[in-house]
Amino acid sequence: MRAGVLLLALFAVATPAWAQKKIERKQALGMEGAFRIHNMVGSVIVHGWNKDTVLVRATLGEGDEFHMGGGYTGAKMFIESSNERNPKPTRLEIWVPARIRLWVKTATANIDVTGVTGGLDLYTVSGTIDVTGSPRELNAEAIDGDIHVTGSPPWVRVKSATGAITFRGSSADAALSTVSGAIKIEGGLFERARIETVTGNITFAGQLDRSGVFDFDTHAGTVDIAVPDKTNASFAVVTIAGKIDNRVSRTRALAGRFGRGQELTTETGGGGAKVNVRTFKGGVTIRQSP
Amino acid sequence: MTRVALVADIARTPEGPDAIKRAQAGDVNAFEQLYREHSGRTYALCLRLVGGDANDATELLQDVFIRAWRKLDTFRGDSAFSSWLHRLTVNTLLENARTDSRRTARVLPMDDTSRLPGAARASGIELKMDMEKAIASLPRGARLAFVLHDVEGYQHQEIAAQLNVSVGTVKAQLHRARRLLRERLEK
Amino acid sequence: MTHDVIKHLVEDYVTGELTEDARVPVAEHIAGCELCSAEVESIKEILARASALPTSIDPPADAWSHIRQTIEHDAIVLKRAPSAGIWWRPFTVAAAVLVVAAVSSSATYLYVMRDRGQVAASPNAGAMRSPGETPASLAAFTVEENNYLRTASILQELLDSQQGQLAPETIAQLKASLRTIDEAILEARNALARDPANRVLIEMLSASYRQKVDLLRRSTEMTRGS
Repeated sequence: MRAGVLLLALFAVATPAWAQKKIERKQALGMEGAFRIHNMVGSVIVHGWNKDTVLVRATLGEGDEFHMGGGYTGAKMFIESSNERNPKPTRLEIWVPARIRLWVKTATANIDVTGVTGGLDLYTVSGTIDVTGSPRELNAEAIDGDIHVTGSPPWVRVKSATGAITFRGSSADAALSTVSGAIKIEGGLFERARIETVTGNITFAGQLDRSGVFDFDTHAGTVDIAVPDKTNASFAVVTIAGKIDNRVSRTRALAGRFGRGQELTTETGGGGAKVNVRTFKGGVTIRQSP
Repeated sequence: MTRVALVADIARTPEGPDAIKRAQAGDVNAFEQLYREHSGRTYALCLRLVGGDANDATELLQDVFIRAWRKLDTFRGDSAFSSWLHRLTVNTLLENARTDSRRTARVLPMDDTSRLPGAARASGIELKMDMEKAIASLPRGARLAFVLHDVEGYQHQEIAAQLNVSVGTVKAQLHRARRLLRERLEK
Repeated sequence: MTHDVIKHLVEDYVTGELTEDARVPVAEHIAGCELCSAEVESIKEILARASALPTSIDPPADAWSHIRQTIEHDAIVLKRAPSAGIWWRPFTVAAAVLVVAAVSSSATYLYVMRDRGQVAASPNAGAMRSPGETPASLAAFTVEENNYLRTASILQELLDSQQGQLAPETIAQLKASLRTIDEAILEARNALARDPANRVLIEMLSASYRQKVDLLRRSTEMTRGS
């Protein structure tokens, strides 16, 4: 009886081990080629390496098939599901030439990319996206997935709707946008940034290049900007119905039009970086980082 | 996307068609990707076609990409996007020259290096700089023929069609360009 | 052939444009003629230097921002969705019906406001503004707003038709996000009705519309590949 219960328990596991299939495939790919990955469900882990080869290790669900093809300048892979309406997860671990242009699309599969220095285009509906390293260009989009970037990609475009975005590093040109997800930036030097939410809270604790331009826009989220002491910046803040808390200078926020909301123009370190903050009703705090 | 469509897609350049399609659907960020990919080559062409003036070249580059955005629907994928953009660049130059005589390229004096790309660069690439200066100093017709044929690799017939002149004229301008370049570079 | 004839053929010889019949005597002459030999080397050098020129030169870093500004404010950006681009072909009939239905701005407005039982007054369209400028007046902005509404309406219908391809949780998140944006639009719109000359409000409203259209477009793109 006990053995029977145990056997039943084994059969009850969602993806029994013997029904999964492990495969390994290699394909030559030029160091500056392009590679596309489609994997709707499961996970996609990508490592950049120093060889002109793509190596894929995949664990597929029963009945699913792996396809890969292309040439030295460009290749693609995808999983053909035995049940398109209810696909089983595929776990992918992939090594690619670090300098390629990589494109990944998933539905719920998480995407994790490390050490790719070329271009990244990562799209998911509700998976999470994690990027570590400094691709020369990063484009990452999710609907309800979170996106985390750790590194210094010079050019960054990151969007989520309800997912949160965290960015630890620096960038020359960054645009981050959510609807209700929080956006948190910390770390290094930024030259140009556009941070936008509808209701998500924005926290910025980076450094402002003195010739940079920074735009923070939100309807109802709070905006918290913490800058190092002796930062050279000019701040122009306006909120239609919110409040401004200025802790970097003695300038007081003035009442907005018709006595609603507030406006503030001030500078630190004699001015420099242009920081524009606009909210409809979100509160704004400008302070020195600890 | 069906398996058939994906399999058929495998042979094509991976990221190109997707960014183009997204841009055609109105996605400005996708268009920006195309700009990042193609602006270097386009700017090089603009700079040489206008005779070395960086401001003129930047204006032309901007005109080209704005036009490219507006005409993106006409790109059918029957040639490479870069070729389509290239033809658009030459057409834009010619149309701008017709409507604005100020934009007719000036002959750059041989000793004026200030307006050329990388004028402040180290002397390690002096050899190439002399060549750029020399091309910039050519009379307009000769310069267009030389840049399109000897730098960009177009055939006489293609150039003749784009510039709306005869093949004979293209050959004559090319001959003139090479002769002038040899004279100027040998000094 | 004499030297006086051949010297005119040297260039074509170097670039490989001579016929076989002409090439042989020219080659033979060049082999024995110092002047023509030197000419050949000189031409080859020019062509080599031309080939060695950089194929790509970085444009000024700020060149893109002007392009972006122009195309973002170009009315064509907002009119692009209803036009017959490749993406729209399968949906041309449905889209055409929607465009006709959405032409009346009050009907379009009602589409946005229907869940709230409120309809803010929509001033008549004013003159088109030039690209690159924030609408200086509410009247000018209304033209842009109507375009946004039309585009959002078409994209929304497209997304509705694709909902079978999205998980229920994702659909719920998407609807929640669109509601969040719509509420922000309504608040800003009502504030603008009380303060029509407020450029900051116009910019905020414009930004919210852009976010809505962008979210709808991204969502339809996601389902296309899955």
